[in-house]
Amino acid sequence: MQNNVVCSIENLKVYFPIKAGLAQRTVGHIKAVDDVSLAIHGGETLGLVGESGCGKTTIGRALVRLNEPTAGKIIYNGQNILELKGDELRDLRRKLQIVFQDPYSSLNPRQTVRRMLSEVLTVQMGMDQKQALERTGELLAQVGLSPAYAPRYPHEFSGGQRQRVAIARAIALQPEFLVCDEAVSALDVSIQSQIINLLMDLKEHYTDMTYLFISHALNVVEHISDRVAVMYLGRVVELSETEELFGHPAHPYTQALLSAIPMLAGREEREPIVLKGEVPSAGNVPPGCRFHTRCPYATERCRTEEPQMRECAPGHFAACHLLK
Amino acid sequence: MQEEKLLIVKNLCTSFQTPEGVVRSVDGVSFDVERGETLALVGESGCGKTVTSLSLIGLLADTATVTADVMRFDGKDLLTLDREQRRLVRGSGISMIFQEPMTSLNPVYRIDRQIGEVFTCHHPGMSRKEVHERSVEMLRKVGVPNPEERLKVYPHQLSGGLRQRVMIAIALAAGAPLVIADEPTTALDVTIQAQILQLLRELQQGSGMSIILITHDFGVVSQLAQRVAVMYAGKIVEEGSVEDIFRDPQHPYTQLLILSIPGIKVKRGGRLESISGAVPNPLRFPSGCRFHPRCPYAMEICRQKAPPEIEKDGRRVSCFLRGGEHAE
Ligand SMILES: Nc1ncnc2c1ncn2[C@@H]1O[C@H](COP(=O)(O)OP(=O)(O)OP(=O)(O)O)[C@@H](O)[C@H]1O
Ligand SMILES: Nc1ncnc2c1ncn2[C@@H]1O[C@H](COP(=O)(O)OP(=O)(O)OP(=O)(O)O)[C@@H](O)[C@H]1O
Ligand code: SF4
Ligand SMILES: [Mg+2]
Ligand SMILES: [Mg+2]
Repeated sequence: MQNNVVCSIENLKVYFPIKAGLAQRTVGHIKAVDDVSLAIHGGETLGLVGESGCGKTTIGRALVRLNEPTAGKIIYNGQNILELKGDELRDLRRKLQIVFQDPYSSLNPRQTVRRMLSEVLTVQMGMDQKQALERTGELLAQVGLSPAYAPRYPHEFSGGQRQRVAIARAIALQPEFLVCDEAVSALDVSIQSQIINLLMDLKEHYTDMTYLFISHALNVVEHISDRVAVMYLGRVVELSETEELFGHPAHPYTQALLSAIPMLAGREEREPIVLKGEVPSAGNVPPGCRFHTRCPYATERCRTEEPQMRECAPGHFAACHLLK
Repeated sequence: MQEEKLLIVKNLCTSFQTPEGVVRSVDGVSFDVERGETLALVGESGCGKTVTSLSLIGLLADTATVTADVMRFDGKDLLTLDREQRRLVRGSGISMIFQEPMTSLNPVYRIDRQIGEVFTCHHPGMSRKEVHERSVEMLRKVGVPNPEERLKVYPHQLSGGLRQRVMIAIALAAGAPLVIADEPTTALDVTIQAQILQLLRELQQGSGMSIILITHDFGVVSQLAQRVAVMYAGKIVEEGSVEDIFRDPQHPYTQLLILSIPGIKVKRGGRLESISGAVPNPLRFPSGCRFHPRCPYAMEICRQKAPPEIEKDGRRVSCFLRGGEHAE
């Protein structure tokens, strides 16, 4: 695996204001992403996992400039993408694509799939009409849809078909970097396998293609990722190569998360670790280690002092005071 | 006298008019649901699971045509209901947890209004305070942290998984005797998923609620359902108890579906198995058995005739390997 950093997220913060009262005054902030730094290598697949609401989608959207970060930088190929405008931004938007968690709201309801794909292919990829139509058929077949679906509007598809249309659109642009936000979650196992194979094939084709793969399906993440980052309440708490992470999770949160995976063949049975206590709000982050309110090992130090990311094995980082 | 089943559906056909021709998304589907039971509906993406359930509650595009020989819910004939009566059934008889939360949540209203409406609609006299309390309680039950805070926001301010839970809360708030849960836990992590399944089980034991569960997750099927119906290209090809279907799947499609469940160890990064062959074109379903172009056992007769449904020992299957004209 190459170690060239293609995208470097530096101290990224994305806060959303909490408004209250009739005057809608800002009374606080939802710290959806709260000081995240991550270096993503060219050609790698980085898995991003963590509890619902921990900030995964918010990071993905920041990467494609769909929200305005409060602070921090995202350096992509040497440029801070948060400062790009005009043509440069358009160019970036083609190279960096996202498959949204909610395909329904991301597809234009008034455009047929044929029109949507051929527009993308002619305007952005410079194909002529005939090439574009041919490619449209190919793309649909690649995501397991009969080309007979081309004249349809988004609402005329099933949920899983719509998700695949969104994937077809994203890969039509041959992006360098693809954010997949729960991109295969609505699919049955057989079609899910087909799409995962497709994503891996694309990487073989375009060697530098990089994925940020966000998913709750830990078995899929394990299968597809080179490295995995684990988030908790707006912060990355563990980062490691996949095998090391699944084999030796270091952070107590990761341990709990992995222990809940149901029946994974070829791995010894683990007693599920049930986390007690309510999930804290991103609007009111606990002091010290943000996990201490639910951590089975929390000590006095955890309640006051925030643990920093430390390398606990080569290439394996975690933020927990228990680690030497 | 034996009480009638909660839901009886016979020969349901739903088709859509499209510029290219008629798409028969659901083509002769029959099933019933007992009181207090969970029936799982599984099958390939696009096989007709969602359209089947939307046909029951009459929530389909104008281009759709729905016919059936029988469609009875709780003693009422759903086929003869007018618009208003259907709306009532939707409100208090059959609740639906939709596959895509954003399609059913109203983007311009805050969550408190959307969930509160369910309570005020069923209990017109309920005080605002009680509506609020019940809303908070319902959100807490589906595992929404800090429910008070969440009530005050708009759907787009919630993460995908929170939106899904809010929608589940709204669907369950009505206390309907039949809940159709369409992929209810796809955007949720395993822990929250377990909590939702537990809640559904409790509601079932408490109030005898019935569930039609649509999912592609066999783990979820085995945790919640008693019976499974397997769909392929608009038809139910096999139905039986969860144990029977898992232990001894009879239809080749079901067999392949169960085989492709991950966990059967593949090397990391290796190629995953999928059922080979093209997914059918909805405008021209294959002749004979619709699965024959992808079936490893297809015979001549499978190309020519549709296999009859064979019922035996509380299960049914449509495949010439299991009987019909070709049977020994
Ligand atoms: N536009 C917004 N306004 C206010 N709060 C928001 C907004 N978008 C997201 N949030 C909040 O930020 C937090 C992180 O949300 P995000 O969508 O990134 O979570 P996620 O990790 O993708 O979760 P899930 O797995 O449920 O999709 C959540 O608490 C969410 O409610
Ligand atoms: N409005 C419509 N017009 C035309 N065809 C439609 C329409 N709605 C659905 N279909 C088609 O009907 C078939 C069945 O769709 P349905 O939504 O029931 O699938 P599903 O089994 O729920 O799949 P998934 O698991 O992907 O959600 C699909 O082939 C779909 O493309
Ligand atoms: S720092 Fe302490 S509270 Fe935080 S995860 Fe580690 S042990 Fe638990
Ligand atoms: Mg998300
Ligand atoms: Mg569906």
